[in-house]
Amino acid sequence: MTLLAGVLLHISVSAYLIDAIIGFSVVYKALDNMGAFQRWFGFQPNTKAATFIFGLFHGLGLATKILDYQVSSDGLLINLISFNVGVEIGQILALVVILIGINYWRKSVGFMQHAYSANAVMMMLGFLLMGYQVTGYIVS
Amino acid sequence: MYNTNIPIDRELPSGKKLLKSTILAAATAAVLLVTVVMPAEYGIDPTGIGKIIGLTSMGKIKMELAEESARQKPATEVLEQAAPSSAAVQQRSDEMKVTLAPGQSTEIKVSLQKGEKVNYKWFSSGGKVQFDNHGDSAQANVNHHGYGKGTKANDEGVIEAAFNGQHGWYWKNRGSESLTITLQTTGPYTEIKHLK
Repeated sequence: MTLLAGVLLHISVSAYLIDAIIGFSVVYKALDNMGAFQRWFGFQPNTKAATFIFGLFHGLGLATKILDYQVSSDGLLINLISFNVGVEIGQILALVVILIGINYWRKSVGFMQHAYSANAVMMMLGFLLMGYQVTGYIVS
Repeated sequence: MYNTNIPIDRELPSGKKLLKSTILAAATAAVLLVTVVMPAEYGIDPTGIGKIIGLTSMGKIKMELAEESARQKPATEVLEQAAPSSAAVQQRSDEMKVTLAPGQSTEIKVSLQKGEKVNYKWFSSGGKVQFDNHGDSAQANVNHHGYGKGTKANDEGVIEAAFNGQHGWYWKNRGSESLTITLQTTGPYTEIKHLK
């Protein structure tokens, strides 16, 4: 949605800022998985709403990248829709494999501890991505 | 994990544990950012660790390449404007070859009056070399006026003199083998010099 709108309306936000927000979404999701919002604030934010809102930023990020390529306006809409569908198919294919793996993991002994550690590592990577992009924004 | 089904309170990790994990994650990220990511991506090395593990030079090359590609667009515009106006003046053409050992650098310069243009084309026999196109002039009191630099195996374009003086090309062989650079120039210059 934001991908289509972003490219068609030529909305180009700094790729660094968008990527920093994407890094933040990784941190958010890790904390969400770890139950931090329930523990700290006593409630569970709607995971679907959060996915949707962060998804809009991801779309805008892709739009910015596509604009950087200076794509031809000839058949742009069809190309963009095809691109979107392709991205979705790719995501579904990847998720199928990941979900199977995670289900085996979920059944293993000590899953909760492993998952907690894995989310802490993911949060670290999210922070790292934020730092990387914010530095890039300052430098450029 | 904890957000899929509504968990009973005691199943949740303690607030203290969560805070500890968050701080640990942020601190690890900060350390990696300063010691690895900043040197490798931007050539910024506040701790000096990037230099020791060799990532700083990688970041510097990335930044040089980014600058180079950012400069590509204005450079082609100059090239298009240059062709028609320089035809009337008396032109000469030269070809020069210079051999550079590893680590060696050299310069070739032509003398141009302000506004005159020299068309050039060069290539290296041994891959990429670092280059810096620039001019200087004792008369105009200019030490170094940059026309663009980067790392390439060949290049062509136009240098338009910004003042009366010497304008030309600097190359440095950053590789481990000797290489030869061949430079072809056409323009209204009176003199072409190979400076060591």
